[in-house]
Amino acid sequence: MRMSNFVVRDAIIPSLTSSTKEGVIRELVGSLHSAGYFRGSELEDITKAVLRREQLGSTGIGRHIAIPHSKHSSVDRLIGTLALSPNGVPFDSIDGEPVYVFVMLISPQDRPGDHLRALENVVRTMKDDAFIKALRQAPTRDAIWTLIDES
Amino acid sequence: MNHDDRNEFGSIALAYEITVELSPVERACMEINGRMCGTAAIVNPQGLHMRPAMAFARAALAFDSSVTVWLGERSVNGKSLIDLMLLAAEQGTELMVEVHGRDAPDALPVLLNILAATSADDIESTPAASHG
Repeated sequence: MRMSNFVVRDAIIPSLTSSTKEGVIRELVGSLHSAGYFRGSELEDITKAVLRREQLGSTGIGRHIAIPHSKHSSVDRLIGTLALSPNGVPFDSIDGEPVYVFVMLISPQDRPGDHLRALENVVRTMKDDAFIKALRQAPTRDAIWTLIDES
Repeated sequence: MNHDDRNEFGSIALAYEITVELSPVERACMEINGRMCGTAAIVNPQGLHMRPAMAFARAALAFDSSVTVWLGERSVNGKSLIDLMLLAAEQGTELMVEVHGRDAPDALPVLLNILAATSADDIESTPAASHG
């Protein structure tokens, strides 16, 4: 599995405006909705599911990266988005550092293997310092997509 | 050294090396004093996802011993959440935990219990996960 298999190109956010955990998650879920995923009536339910998961423990994995996620019945395959914050967002990360790179994953209820492989893929890609540096400097959705597609 | 101990490639073939096939981690456990190993199968239907991996890394960090997790021939640092997620261990996967250090006898059962938990909620409700 590659990141370009599940990241929705039209939902990539090159510059998040929110500066809080909840705000960022609302922006992330909203971007998938704007890209044609989820009904408007499902937005709040999905947002709450992702926020509930954060309450069980932050998905800020360190290295300025967070992978907020949830399962939801509105998707029939795993989808995701990637977003960058120019100033960083406090996210209760494992290392206490603010988060600049967000990858959100929304999975179907019954595909735990896909979720594990997507997590593995994101983590493996993000272990590359040169990739992270290039990503954080990418100014546009197209520039971010090119990096993801080549990763 | 007797000439008969050499095989056709010229290397020494000792009897126990031929008859006993040990995995690298089993060899490591046998060779070095103070090292302990144990295996656990992942029974959680969600696999070793982020929450149990985080519980494992946190528990491992609370011990002085080094912690290595093996999946077949691959090994990762058990104190690193990121490394543990690289295993993408699904339900049914058997993992071996290798601990080395002063508190290895205390660490091994705690860590194996986390891997063997049926759900992340179970781990978080047991004292083991809050060790240290």
